[in-house]
Parts: sequence; structure tokens; C-alpha cells
Amino acid sequence: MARLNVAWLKRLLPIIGLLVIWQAVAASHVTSAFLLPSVVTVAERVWSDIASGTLAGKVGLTLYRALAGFLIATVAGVTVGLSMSILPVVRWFFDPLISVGFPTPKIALLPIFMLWLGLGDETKIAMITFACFFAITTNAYAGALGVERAFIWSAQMLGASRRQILTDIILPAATPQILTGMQIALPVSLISTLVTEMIMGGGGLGGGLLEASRYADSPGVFAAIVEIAAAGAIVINVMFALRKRLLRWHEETQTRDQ
Amino acid sequence: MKTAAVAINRLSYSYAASDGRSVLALSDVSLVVEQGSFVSLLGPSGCGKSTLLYLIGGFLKQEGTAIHVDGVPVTGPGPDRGIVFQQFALFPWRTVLGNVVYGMEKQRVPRAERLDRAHKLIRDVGLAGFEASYPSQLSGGMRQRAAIARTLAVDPAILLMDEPFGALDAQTRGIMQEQLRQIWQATGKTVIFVTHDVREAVYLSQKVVVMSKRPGTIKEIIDTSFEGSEADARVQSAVEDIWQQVKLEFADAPAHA
Ligand SMILES: Nc1ncnc2c1ncn2[C@@H]1O[C@H](COP(=O)(O)OP(=O)(O)O)[C@@H](O)[C@H]1O
Ligand SMILES: [Mg+2]
Repeated sequence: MARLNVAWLKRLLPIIGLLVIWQAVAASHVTSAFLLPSVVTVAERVWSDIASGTLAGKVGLTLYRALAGFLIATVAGVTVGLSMSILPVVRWFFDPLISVGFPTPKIALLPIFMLWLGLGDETKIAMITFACFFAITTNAYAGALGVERAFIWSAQMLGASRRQILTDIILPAATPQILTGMQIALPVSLISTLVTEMIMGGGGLGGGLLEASRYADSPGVFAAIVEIAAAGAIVINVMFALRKRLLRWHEETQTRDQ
Repeated sequence: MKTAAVAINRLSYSYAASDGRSVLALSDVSLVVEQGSFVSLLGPSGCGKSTLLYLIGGFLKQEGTAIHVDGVPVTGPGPDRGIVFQQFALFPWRTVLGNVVYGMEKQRVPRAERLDRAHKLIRDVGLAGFEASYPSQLSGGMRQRAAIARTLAVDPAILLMDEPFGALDAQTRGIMQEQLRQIWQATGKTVIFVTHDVREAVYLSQKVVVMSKRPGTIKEIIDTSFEGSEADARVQSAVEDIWQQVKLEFADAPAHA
């Protein structure tokens, strides 16, 4: 336990250092409280957001949007990616679409989604799903292609059907790479949520940030940034723990545990 | 005369290499393996031993009907031909027990019977206590033994073994050879066994098939089923005989293969 605390402290040290510098600069009159509010002011604002329950509401809404899009993209991306590896027609259809779509900045399609789906949550979630889809699909596809043929042959020899080979062999064998795709997509989902909220409004952390900047509420803007960063860090760490849990069997986790 | 478990008639096989050309791995191989017999394939690296096993197993596709198993042309893999791969191929996301029961799950063996049989097999290969371990937690030799148990679990009539004891230390290797011999004698399975080791081939098998370097052809088939009082001496002389044959092939085999 003690060692764990030391390790955490070491990880947090750069962040604490940044806060100390921030506080020193804010206190030193080279800048104004409007351009750079002090750490204490911002912390007070964050605390009052927590106490009043507005933070929970904003975080809840943002996370709901981000995770809804992320999960839809995960189901769709894994399905498409694995299907591409075994069905030539699916590969034929998606291969060129992915080549074109992957490098395109997905957010460019937001006006089209707004036109088609209106200004509600559907548009935001569709945008987030679309932004996440490519990383998950390409990783699931590459993971499925990389499955050792001896695994598939072993399952065939032991009597598995084609469908069972997909679910029992290809899916678990591709899991490390699927999780890598999800880890790439997760921050993308948060970024997309923030951007759609800042462009379209409708509350959430991005909406709050937009509002604070409209009213020139500089402590509010800084508080929102801190809140967004904290929420993002927590979500990413949960994803990392999920990876460790799902890959108990993998060498990757063996060496880290022992 | 016993019936043929595996009959191979003028089989050739080429791989498509990445540069578009093809690599002839097997050329005009003919071989009859009688039911219940133990046959070893011996030859230098790259002569096509694994390829031949994959073809019998139905994993590699070939045109025509050059391979018959129990009188029926091979069209794909099946639980009648259990293979133990050179690189184990255990499912790393399943425990030892999970690997051994997998085939029985697919064969719809009832749960209680499945676990019973799996535990017995795991004990037989000396892995009792490691049921809940993942392959990544086992040594090479232990993985290989788990792979053998997994294949035996579906009770295949024909066992295809690709250098199964290559990764084992000398002592474990001896124990596993003895166990395989007992399994073979007790169950009457047909075994096709690939090895590098002349002594192992002669000790275990009734026939040793000596293959030439690539493209693999059958150079000679030597009877090695010795019984009675002079068996030991005859094993010794057969080993020396075969070693002479093989040495020529090994000598100018490509070193990298
Ligand atoms: N997938 C493949 N593609 C192309 N060539 C291959 C492939 N697999 C094996 N070969 C070639 O076929 C020959 C026989 O290989 P293999 O059956 O593995 O030999 P062995 O098991 O006797 O060492 C080798 O020369 C090897 O390079
Ligand atoms: Mg081989």
C-alpha cells in the first residue's frame, strides 16, 4: 500500500508542479485575474460546481453522449472489422470507404449530420460514433487477420463450426488489438463530444465551457477545463483497468503482475 | 492384411510464394499407413514433413483425391484426425482445463463427463495442479503436454504429431515417449509422428519413412517393429542404418530451412 502511494505521488508530481507554477504566475502581477485566475479561485469554483450538483449534471450528460457513441462504434466496428476478415464481400465494400474515411477529419461532417438529424443528442451521438468507428474497425480487422492459423486449425480439428471459430477463436485472439482500437477511440469520443457541445450547445461540459466564455467568466472557463481534464483522466484509467482485466491471460499482464 | 487408415497416392503440393512463384514442397509422395500402426516421418528441416501432416489433417487444401482416410478422400479437418502442432497452438485465453475441454464442448459431451475426462487426461500428462493456469504461465514442455491432452480429449482415431517432443528436456522427453507408446498400445490409434530424432523414430515406430530434402519425396521406408530377445540389438543397428541414410540428406540440406 505504501509503495502504491509513493508511485502515485510520483505520477502526480508533474501535475502538482504545474499547479504551483500556475499559482505563482497568477499571484505575481505579470498577468491579471481575468487572463489567469489563481488556482485557488478555480478550485473554489470547481468545488462549488461539485457542491451544487451542476458538475455531476454536466459530467453525466457529456459522459452519456461520449460513451453512447463510443459503445455503438465499438459494437459496429468490431462487427465490421471481424466480418471483413472472413467475408470477402464485406471487405470489398468497406476497404475503400475506410481508406478514404480514416484520414478525413470526421468533424467536417457535423454540418451534414445537423442537417439530417437536427440539433438534438442524436446528431451528437452520431457524430461521436462516426469519429470512433474507424480506429476500432481497422484495429479489429488487423487483429482478426493476425490470428495464428494454428489456432483456427486447432478449433476446426476439435469440431468447431465457422460461427464458433469467429466467436471462440477470432474474437478472443483479436481482443488485445480490439482493446487498442478502443483505447485510441476513447479520447476521440471525448474530444468529439466536447467539440459538438461547443458548436451546438445543449449543455454538458462543452456547453458549460461555451457559456462561461460567452459571459467572459474566466474562472468558469478554467474550472471547466480542469473538470474536463479530470473526467477524461478517470475514463481513460477505467479503460486501462478494463484492458488488464480482460487480458488476464495475456503475457502483457503476466509480466506486469509478477 | 490390415486396412489402410491413410492412403496417399502420388501426392504433390506447392505453396504460392509471396513473389508469385510457387514452391514445390512435396513431390510424388505415395504412402500407406495401416490402421493401428505407428509410423514416423524422418527428414531434414524444410523437406515437407509438416506440410504432409497438414495435408492429411485437411488443413491445407489440395486438388484431387490423392489422400484417402478410411477410404474417403480428405476434404477438410475433422475430429477423426487429431493433430498436435509443432508450436503447441494452445488457446492462450483459455486455461489448461479450458483448452482440454474445448473439443468436448464442441462435440456436445455432457458437462460432468467432459470435466471428468479432462481431469483424467491432465493427470495423465502430468499437469495435475495446473488446471487453472494459462498457457503463458507454463513452460514449453508443459504447454506441449497440455496440447497433447487437448488433442487426446476428442479421442481421434488417427494422431498426427509434429515434432511433439522437440521442446522437452531429455528426461521429460523419455517419459512422454513411454506414455505415448502406452497410449498407442492401449487404444490402437494410428499414429503418424514427425521427428528429427532417429533414435526416437526407431524406438517408437513400426515403420520409419525417410524423406529427402526439398522437394520432399519418400526415399525409403524401413521396418522397425522389433520384438523378442534381440530387439535391443536390432534397434541399435537400425538406428545406425537409418542414420547413414539420413546423414546424406541432412548434410546438403539448406542450412536456413
Ligand atoms: N506458407 C508457406 N509458404 C511458402 N512456402 C512454405 C510455406 N510453408 C512451408 N513452406 C516451404 O515448404 C517447405 C516444406 O516446409 P515444411 O513442411 O514446414 O517442412 P518441415 O516440416 O519438414 O521442416 C519448406 O521449404 C518451406 O520453406
Ligand atoms: Mg515442420
